[in-house]
Amino acid sequence: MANTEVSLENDPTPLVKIFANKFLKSLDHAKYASKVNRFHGTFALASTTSPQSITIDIRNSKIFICRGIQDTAKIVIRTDFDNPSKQKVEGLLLHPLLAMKISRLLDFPQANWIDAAKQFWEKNVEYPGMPTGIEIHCEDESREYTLGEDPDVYITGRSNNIAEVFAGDAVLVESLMLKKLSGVSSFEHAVVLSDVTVQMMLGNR
Amino acid sequence: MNDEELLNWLDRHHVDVIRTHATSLDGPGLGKYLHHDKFFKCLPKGHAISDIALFSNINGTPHMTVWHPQREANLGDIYLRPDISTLIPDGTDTKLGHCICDFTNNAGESLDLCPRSTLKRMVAEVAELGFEIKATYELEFFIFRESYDEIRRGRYRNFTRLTASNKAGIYNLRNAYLAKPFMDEVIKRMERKGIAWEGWNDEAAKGQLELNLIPSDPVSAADNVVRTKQILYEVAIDLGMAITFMARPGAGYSNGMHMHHSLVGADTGEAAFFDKGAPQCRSQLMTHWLAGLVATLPGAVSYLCPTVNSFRRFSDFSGSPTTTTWGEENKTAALRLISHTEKQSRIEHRVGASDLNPYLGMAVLLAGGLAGVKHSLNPPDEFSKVAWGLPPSEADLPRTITQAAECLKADELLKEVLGSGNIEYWAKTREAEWLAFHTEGGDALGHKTSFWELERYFEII
Repeated sequence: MANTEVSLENDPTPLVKIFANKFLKSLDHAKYASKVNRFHGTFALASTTSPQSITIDIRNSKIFICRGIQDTAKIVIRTDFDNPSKQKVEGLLLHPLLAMKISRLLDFPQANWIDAAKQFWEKNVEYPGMPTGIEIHCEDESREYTLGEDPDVYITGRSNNIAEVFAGDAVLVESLMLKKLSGVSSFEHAVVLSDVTVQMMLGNR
Repeated sequence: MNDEELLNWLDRHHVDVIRTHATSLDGPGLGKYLHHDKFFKCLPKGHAISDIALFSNINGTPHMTVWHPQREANLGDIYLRPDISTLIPDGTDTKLGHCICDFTNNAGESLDLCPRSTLKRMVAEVAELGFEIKATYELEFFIFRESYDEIRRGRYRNFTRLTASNKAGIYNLRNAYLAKPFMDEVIKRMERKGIAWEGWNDEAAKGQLELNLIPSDPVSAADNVVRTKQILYEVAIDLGMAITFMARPGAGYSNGMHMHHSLVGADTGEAAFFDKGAPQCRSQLMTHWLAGLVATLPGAVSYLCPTVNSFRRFSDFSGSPTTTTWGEENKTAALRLISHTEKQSRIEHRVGASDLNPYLGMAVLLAGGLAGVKHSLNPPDEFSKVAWGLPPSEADLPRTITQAAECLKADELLKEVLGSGNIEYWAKTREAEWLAFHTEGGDALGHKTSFWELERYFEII
């Protein structure tokens, strides 16, 4: 939504940039934008596996994100960012309604895997070193989709994991290492595709 | 040295094994121990080594988010081509010899990203202008009583700095005396390898020493630095102690690697930075050279301060410069000029952290000077006051690894001289280092050196 601003601290950390990018992408969805516009409050997200943390302040259709857990945060959600299903919420008893709204806010809309892949290809096909094509096999839907021509990269996995990578919410090489996806590719293409997914995740592309 | 001379050399020095030595982009030494037959047979091309030797991060993980056309498509081999002029006997290990190498591809062509070849290119460009370079480095490092194993087991919290007092001093002879047995062994091994040194002394922080090497051509000077760093490490291992070139392993003053350099006429041998008739005796060449160094300083910081830890060094009144300033005999500025006598005429570049790659650090310095000369740049006014505690300004040096990488990517002068491919690759590796710091356990809010930094850099850098 055009009237919602997202601003960041100076020299932001990766986590700040990643969440800013998540908000920016999600604000294109009218339903999500309306959720943001109705939200007022400050909350923090902290990693349970590293010292990473951010504070998100949303009010009057303005989102500001900075590093650390600021004193103004009424709710602190501690989670493993690689496995966000496990969460510990601090401040829930004092601010149950806010906590509920935050959980809805953090449920970012995700494009289906084919749309994500198509958009990825449109945006990045000219990037130096990209493969001529990518063949994608979605295991849970038993469907295939090909980007470009004469694919020299093959990727297979579940729909949500495919969508995550092509939407820039995950880095290809990490998804391969975590076995969320598997594939066949040259090392060069794996590096170039990982580079592109990192840049998308940070909002640089 | 031809084949016969080489065989004679190996025979005369009783060398059975040769250790090849190059540096990765980040600076750690790497190579192989080769039987002398293998070493001889693989000349002049050199021996194969996986491309991850050059194209990986400081912990040996291949660069997974940056590609270069000279990388092997599937982690294939590149080569380490020995520079036979650097072949030396170890002197301590009587059967061992050492040889510095350059990275090449299978066709024997130098790789653009090879740190030593990058420096050679810069030296060649200066030679085209009719000058030779005299350069040297100041090595600062910390020395500890415990072994690396003990320090590692204590999670880097229990090291004891080798110091006579719990308070820091400088040039303190009691501190130096404590370090003398260690340094005697270091000097002995350096001399056996033909590495010329000027002096060493106690430095400002507790357990910090400085070792100064004799000036030479920049490539030999950098070779001497990588060899000396390896000697320091080996002596520490042999004596059950530890040293580190981390810029800031803990509280207190930090480690820099100042670089001194001057130009001399290739034909005349005369000091080219000196002009008795010019104001302050600074030649026109020195003025343009200096201007190039100043203009490229923000971008050069990326090479001069390559790690997350390097930037913890930048702090006013702590010895390290914090601004893009220069001045005659000004040790608070980034660039200290000594220009009043022909013999001493030189520039001391004070920005580098001790964890820099000496080849790349010197290469970016020469690239800046070259850019200044090629474009006839003029420097900003001399800064003749204390360049610390100043109000924030555009002259502030970049303070984080990402800010420095951004400055480097925007530096058209450095791109013109060093090559945009080199710069883009390097800048992306710094962004990867930043990502690793934040996502693998560095503390974005912490003002103290993190465990992640100590574990990543302490022994290796």
